[in-house]
Amino acid sequence: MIHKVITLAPFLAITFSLPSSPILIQQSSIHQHQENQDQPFDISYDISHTIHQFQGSQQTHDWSYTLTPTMSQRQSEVTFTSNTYGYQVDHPSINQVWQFEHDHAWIEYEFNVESDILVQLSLDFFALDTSIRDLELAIMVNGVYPFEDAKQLTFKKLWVTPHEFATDRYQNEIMPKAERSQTWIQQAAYDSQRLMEHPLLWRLTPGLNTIRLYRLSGTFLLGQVYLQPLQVAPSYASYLNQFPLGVLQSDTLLTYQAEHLDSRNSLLTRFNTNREPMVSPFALIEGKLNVLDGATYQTPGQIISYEIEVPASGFYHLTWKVLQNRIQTKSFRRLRINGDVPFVEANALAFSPSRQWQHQTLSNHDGIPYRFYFEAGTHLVSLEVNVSQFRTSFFAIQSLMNDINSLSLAIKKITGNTIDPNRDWDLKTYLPTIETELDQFVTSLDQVSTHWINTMDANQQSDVIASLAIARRLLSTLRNDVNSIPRRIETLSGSSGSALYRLGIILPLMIQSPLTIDQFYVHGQSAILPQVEAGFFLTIWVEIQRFFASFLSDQYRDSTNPDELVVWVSRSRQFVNLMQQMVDAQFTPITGIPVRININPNEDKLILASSAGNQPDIAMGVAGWRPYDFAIRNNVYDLSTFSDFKEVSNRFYPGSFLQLIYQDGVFGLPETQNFYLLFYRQDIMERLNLEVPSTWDDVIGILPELQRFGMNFYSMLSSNNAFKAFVQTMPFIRQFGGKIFSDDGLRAAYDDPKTIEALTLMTDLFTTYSLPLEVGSFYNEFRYGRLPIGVGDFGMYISLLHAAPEIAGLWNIAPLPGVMQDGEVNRSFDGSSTSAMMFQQTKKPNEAWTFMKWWTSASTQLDYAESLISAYGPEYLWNSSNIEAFEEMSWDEQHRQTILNQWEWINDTAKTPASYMVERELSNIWNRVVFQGVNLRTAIEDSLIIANKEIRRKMIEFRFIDAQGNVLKPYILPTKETIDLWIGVNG
Amino acid sequence: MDWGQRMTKKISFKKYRDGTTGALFVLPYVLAFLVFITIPVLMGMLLSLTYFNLLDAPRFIGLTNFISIFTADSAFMQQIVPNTITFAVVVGPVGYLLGFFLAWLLAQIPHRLRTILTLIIYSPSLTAGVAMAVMWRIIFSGDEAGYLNAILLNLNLIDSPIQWLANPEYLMTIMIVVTLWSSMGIGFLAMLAGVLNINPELFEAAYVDGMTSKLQEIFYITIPSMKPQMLFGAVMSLVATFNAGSIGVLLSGQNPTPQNAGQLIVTHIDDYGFIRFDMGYAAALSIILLLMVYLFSKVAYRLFGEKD
Repeated sequence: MIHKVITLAPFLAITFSLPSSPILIQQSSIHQHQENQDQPFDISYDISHTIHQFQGSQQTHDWSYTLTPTMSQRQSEVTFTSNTYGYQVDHPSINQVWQFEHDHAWIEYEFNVESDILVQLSLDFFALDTSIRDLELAIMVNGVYPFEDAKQLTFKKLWVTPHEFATDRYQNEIMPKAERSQTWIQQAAYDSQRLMEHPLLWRLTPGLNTIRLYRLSGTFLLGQVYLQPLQVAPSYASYLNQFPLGVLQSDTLLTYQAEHLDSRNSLLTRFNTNREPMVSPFALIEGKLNVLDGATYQTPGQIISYEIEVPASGFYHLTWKVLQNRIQTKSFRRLRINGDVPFVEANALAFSPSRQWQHQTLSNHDGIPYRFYFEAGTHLVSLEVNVSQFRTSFFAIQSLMNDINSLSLAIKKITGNTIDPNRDWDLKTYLPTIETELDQFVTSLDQVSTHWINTMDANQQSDVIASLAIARRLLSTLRNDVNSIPRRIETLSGSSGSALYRLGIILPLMIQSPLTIDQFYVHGQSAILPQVEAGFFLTIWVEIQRFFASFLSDQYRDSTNPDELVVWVSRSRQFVNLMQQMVDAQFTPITGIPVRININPNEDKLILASSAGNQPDIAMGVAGWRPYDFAIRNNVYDLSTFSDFKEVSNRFYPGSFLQLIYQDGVFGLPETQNFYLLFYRQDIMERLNLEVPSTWDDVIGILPELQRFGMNFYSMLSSNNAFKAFVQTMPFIRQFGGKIFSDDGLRAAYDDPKTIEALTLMTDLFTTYSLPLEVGSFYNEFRYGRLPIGVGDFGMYISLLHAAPEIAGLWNIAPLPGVMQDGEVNRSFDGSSTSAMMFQQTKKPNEAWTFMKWWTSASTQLDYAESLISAYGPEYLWNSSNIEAFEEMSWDEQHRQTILNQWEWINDTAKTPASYMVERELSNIWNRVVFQGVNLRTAIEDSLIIANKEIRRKMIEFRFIDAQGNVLKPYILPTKETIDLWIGVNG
Repeated sequence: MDWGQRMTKKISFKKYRDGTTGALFVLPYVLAFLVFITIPVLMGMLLSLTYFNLLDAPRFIGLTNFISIFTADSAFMQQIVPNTITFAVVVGPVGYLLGFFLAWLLAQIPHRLRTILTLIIYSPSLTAGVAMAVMWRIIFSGDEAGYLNAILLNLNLIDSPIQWLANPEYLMTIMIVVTLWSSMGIGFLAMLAGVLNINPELFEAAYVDGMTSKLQEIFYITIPSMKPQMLFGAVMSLVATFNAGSIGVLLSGQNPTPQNAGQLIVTHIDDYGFIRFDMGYAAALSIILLLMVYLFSKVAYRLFGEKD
């Protein structure tokens, strides 16, 4: 134990380095907070300090400084185009604008400023690409990024959808495809999380100033840039005074459906079906998209807009028919009329929670409805999710979590990872400030919960308050018996039920503000609104009708149509339902090919169905290696016989085709992709001063330091599955440049010198370097911090992203460790994915091919990925094999780049008829060396005999050799280098 | 005489009618037995003489499959048959004796408590294989977080965790333990019923005749009085043992088990049938399994069957 105490001093000397990437904005906020310990509540980006300094200076609010396109002095990688898409501004002379398209594109403006001022910055843009991603810019003022948020600013595109919805085969309405709005948009630069109550403010100093706009992503035209002081809306009283002649209307009633949006700025905002009788439009059986779904309209910054037509000028009330059933939590919205917030109170209009549909008239605290003035004519009413009042609480909890984590790491550094329950600790001698720190934690929790209770009128039933109370209780228990903390470290920061975990769960909840809307009314004082909830008897009557109608409905009838293309998909119901909807909406109408998609719960059914002659036309979602087994028995259609196959194959990385090839044919298309990545805990690696390893040698290098603290590294061979499949063993062999088959495919090649090198590393890692031999759950060990670094796959990525709230933002991914080969680190991996295959017996090969092409195309895959997320939530990440689609998906940008880099190294294992034997003997070699201490060479020799025997048996079975071992026809083994013989390779 | 003749006639007529009725009553079972047992077994026998890769039509190849099983399949003769016999010999008799012993113990205690304990002992055999394996995989997990490892580490009996399920040395033992734990099934219930149904007067009579110990009670009264249940239990236990092969695969994670340490005939059949696509060979293996089960059942009949 002694050595662990000695290391304490360097550990406490925490250094804060600003993260170099724009993604790490949250961390930076926290870091700034920690430097300002005396102000635990003011931890927004540093400009909010400066606001106070400048308030009361000579600024007025009505000036605006416009930077026209021609005023830009310096540019790079941008083009000056006169195709302005109808750009019109007050300034008459603009007929050319800047087009941003390439990487490293930027333009710079230079101008003089008289006094020290703070300005907000907005710009006119026109998006040219059809990508669903928002535009991303970075802005430098006078050569520096004034704050972290400036490194990544998003400007949101607007999306329009038709008001008429198409229906699927059962008359259910389908979420219409969104079109990008073809208009110029003026938008101010906001913080990336949209938690500030106002746009970002930029400080300009007297004299010459430069502003440089960098493109990060998106293709767009940039019009004018506007600099103006912070725009503050008038108070309600002065707003009313602006219209002395306005009269409050009496019985006008205008009704607008929430699902008939004019535009939205986020594709996540979606419509849904609510079956209550009073929700309009109502349908007994079929699903009408009749509400705007609150679960998809809760993230700060989401805006929905409606065009309204007002018959007469005057004052109106606004009433929304809403359902907001999160207990004890209000939702807040900012209202804009024609783009402007009419009065300051409209920044945060509260919708109170209720279990039932309610009419909520926008009113002040005392329930007196606000009056809104509309001139006769068309207006745009927008509602934006705004939770800026919880920003301080949000950041306080976030920084508190960081502090708890640091404290827990500090304690673990003293006590080590394995804690002796019989040992007593005097923790205060090691960590003198621990009691005051815990006191501070409790105080800041109290502040947050007071603020929450006051704003929300919440009580203990509120999810946030309940969790805060539990976390507070846990922390004060620990505070009262500090010396017991080493034994009860799980209470502080464990992966379930700990204080850290509780806070991690409520953190995202604090800035979610869901609101489901059915319709809204613009109405006069005495207008009578329609009934909001159906009575008891009507509800029962509707349910009875619905029950009997269900007997007649087609939705529940299982009919088969011989013209239909039958597709079996081995995925869960959500995936399959959405697929069928997309097919009905987008594929069948265009091609005229009806498709029926069925769930196939068990892949082995495909074999049985084939032997019974009942196979479908296409099977999808099957394991990547499965098409091969059918192919060698002539049951799969050779896709390379289609004339456009090579073009289609360009959509994927060549390496993912290797296991789909048999002799001359290609027997499937990759559908999804798995990734092997290096996951690491940033916090722990930073505290231990360890570099993220890039090669296996680096991994071996960090092991002593990790193991000194009872931690270790997780490699894919440490899984708790005793059988080590190709996906676990082959990356090592490929990285060393080794092989497992002789070039003619007729022998196993474990004795290839490079393969032996790889096997030596694979076994040494365990016998010499003591990697954990078996780990029940890397995901849990990673959360506990016992295995702070290791190799994980796509499933691990999703789990950490969505089911590890207590370490959110504390981990990161890096490419898989590799082996240095010719000056480059070879990071090959076996990305065994799911594939799609077409059966040989299909009667409609051309239709089936058309379907497969459509399904694997970038636009379909992208649409599917986004629809999955918006329909079922962010956990439904779709790891498409289509490179172009993947590049466009709305994943975390930095993670996407890492994954794409790793993806280039995909090198699946080509198969032979007996490769299962080669796979299991490879596993056995490892097993015998590691568990029984058998000499590696001996193990290899023994396994060679067994594997070769089976290869021979199978090669005779498939008539590649005869019983005497004479070659009858050559077996063709594809490699990454020769794969262009089968497929197109510019992917 | 006259009367007697008529009587016989009547009886034979009745007998005839009873025969039809009886046949009708048996018919559903006979049909089900034919369709689900006899025909598949015959089909299996036929398939075992063919090369059948599940996708193409079977091709007749005579006894080749059997010849390769006994001459070419080194894993089968060296590992799988010994494994299967070890497993069967330990789990079968031990499980059977344990079942009888537990049933007898339960019969000695009051009714209510007995019901509860019976349920507890019986329930593992109801648990589905996968769910069970998940539980045992946590107990035998090979890292410090595994229950068994954690306990042994805490007691300082070992100094680093043991990979119970990945290490071929331990796998078979664990398979046997887990199977024994879940082996108190129908056979055990039948034996419990058998013990409980013995007429208590027999015991009283025996004590009057001078029986002195519980052991005598078991051997002279309990076992002879419940021979049918003992036979039923023995056959059930045998069949279950031979068919319980998948436990090794469920525990270690994938077929085949590491170095074939826990490979039994059943998993070998699965390997050939669905991984190697060689259904003819798998059918031949299953015929061998059938013969083994039949042989052992014969032994059980010899031991427990009524001799009449």
